[in-house]
Amino acid sequence: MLKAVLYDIFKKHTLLILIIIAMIALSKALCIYLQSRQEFSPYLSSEGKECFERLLDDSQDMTLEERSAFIYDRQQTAVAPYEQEAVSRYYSLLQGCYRRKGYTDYAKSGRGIIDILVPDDLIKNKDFYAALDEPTVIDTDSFNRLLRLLSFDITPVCVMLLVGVLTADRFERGLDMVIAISKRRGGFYITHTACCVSFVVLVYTASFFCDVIISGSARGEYLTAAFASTGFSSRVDASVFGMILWLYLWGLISAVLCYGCFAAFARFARSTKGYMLVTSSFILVMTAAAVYINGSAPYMFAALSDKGDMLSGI
Amino acid sequence: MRLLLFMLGRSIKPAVLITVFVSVVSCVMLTFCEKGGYVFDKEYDSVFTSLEADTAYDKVSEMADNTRAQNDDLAKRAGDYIAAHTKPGSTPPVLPDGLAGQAVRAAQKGGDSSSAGQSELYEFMGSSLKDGKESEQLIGDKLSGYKRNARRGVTDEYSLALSAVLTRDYEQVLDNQQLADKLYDTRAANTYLEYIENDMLFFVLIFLICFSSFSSERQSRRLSAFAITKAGAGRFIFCRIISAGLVCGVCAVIYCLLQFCVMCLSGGAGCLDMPLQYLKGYALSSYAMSFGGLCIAAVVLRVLLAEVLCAAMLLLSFLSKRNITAGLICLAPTAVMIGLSKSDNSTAQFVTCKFSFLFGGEGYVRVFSTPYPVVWLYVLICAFAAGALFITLIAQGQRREY
Repeated sequence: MLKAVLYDIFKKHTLLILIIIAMIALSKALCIYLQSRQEFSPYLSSEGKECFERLLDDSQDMTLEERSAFIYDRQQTAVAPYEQEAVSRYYSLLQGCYRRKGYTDYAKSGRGIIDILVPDDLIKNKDFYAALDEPTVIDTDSFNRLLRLLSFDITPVCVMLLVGVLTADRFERGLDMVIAISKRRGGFYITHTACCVSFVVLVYTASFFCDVIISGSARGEYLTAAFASTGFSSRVDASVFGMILWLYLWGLISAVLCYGCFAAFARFARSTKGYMLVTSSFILVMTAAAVYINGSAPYMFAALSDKGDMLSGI
Repeated sequence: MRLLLFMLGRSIKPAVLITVFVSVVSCVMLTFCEKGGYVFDKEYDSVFTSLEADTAYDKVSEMADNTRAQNDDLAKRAGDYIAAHTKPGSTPPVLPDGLAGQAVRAAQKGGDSSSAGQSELYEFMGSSLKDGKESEQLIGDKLSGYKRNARRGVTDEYSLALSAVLTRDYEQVLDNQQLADKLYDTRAANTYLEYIENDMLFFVLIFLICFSSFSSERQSRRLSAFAITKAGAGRFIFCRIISAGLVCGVCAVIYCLLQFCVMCLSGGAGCLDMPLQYLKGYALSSYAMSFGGLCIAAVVLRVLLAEVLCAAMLLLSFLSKRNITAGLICLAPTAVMIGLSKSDNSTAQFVTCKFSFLFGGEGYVRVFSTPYPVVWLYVLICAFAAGALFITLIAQGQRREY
């Protein structure tokens, strides 16, 4: 049975699989292209990045006080523009760390704020802020890149196509009637669903790991730092690795749920036209909601939704 | 004719159902945008009703300056303290208790001493009133610039022609502005225009209505059955195209009207007779129109855009043999239009029918050394594109094999 189902998916629908993979690759290429076209890039230049990484290596295992002294020394010796770029980036990140550490100190002891930028729920959620870890200086470009790449996530569209071709089309052609009178129909449905779900999981995982590797997030020191170091919401008590894992799991659950819902639609609609109408309007309405009602909740079936908004809305 | 009416009757009901569903979603989104644009804000109302027409902008900018000054004062004291106590190479200084307490209290949402919300409100109000206040002066500057050019003896044919038409238009605009002498509440109007410019659900609506119109006929082999008859499938396809175009136009009108109703109900009805130039970003528009006129023009232009998109979708749908392929292929123009509507490029703004681009500026483009109104150019191009696509489709309908 498994062999027949796998044959059905991979041999008869090779073109579909290729189209899905090409669409995912295309979306990533488009994202990288659009970023390279940006006039004011938020990222460091390549020389500046090298220099910044050297700074990070030199200041490994330092406390924040030692880092201040260290970057002050480097500020005196930085001459070339890319060196200055890296040093000023390091300095501003360090300042951000002090600011976030200040919130924790303020929540613990009532002292420690270093400037007038204060979160708007500091008094209400005092205990939460008091329990946060101390942030440290890391390469935030990687995380920003990762979020950008993830926001070009078109998994729901791919799932829509997959279910459309493999399931909705079968219902439309009445093949389920043929299967229904066969002896092993239960086995067929279970194997088919299992194969499709594992394919979706596989594709999503592969695409996510591509994102992680392209954005350069897979590095040890970076992953263990507190999430507040990335400069996003300071309301999350986790490490960067925990956050990336959370994003992955969230996306995976969305993809699998998406599969389940779309398969149910296909069963009820019993025509490709109805199925396409329902699912595409579903995806597009969710995407529109993610664009217009920003920052309120993570949207399950939204293709191309801004994950940065999602994080600051937690 | 009977065939056409039959087809219309069959296809209009599901299309209108889809339209109503998408419109309701879109209206809900519009309401959320309006909430962000202070349309339902009580405080804004109370401040706005206390203003007078002549001095409104000055008073609001004064209030905005006051609240900004409070924040600046706190920021300055904190900055002074930080500057005085910073030692290079050591940890940044911690603010003293009084200052830190003030900073924390000012930033908390909904607190008594929180000034963040108020200053945002005044800034927003100021920016809404700014264009109305400055429009007259900016247009006057432009007019005197044209006169100066004429005195200096500019001989370039195009710039002379442009200044002639613009002087005529702007004088009419100034006359209109003199008639409208009251304070307009532009919150709902500004949000509405901003929303319909970036509206992606409109493209989705056209996609949902049109993507399966021919592919389902091909999939069910109805077209090939018609094709082997003596008359062929040409007449059927022709009627289908006409009915799809009509349905698409009707649905686009329903969609636009529902959005317009939401705007009117949420307070935009009061400024339908307002000159266009009082809207945010339209200060230099050369169209002597009211906001109501702009809304009508918006509906017409969007219906035209819908027809072009409809023609493109029909053609793509005709070229694909199965519904699922048609769905995939027709998603491409939808995605392209949504992508273009996010771009700042002027061609992309023209293609996706951005009203601030079409109506916001001088409104003329150079066509063979004569100034041509950009809106008419848009209408012409749309009509040409839709016509060309429909004719291609009709020509495709003459073939005998499907």
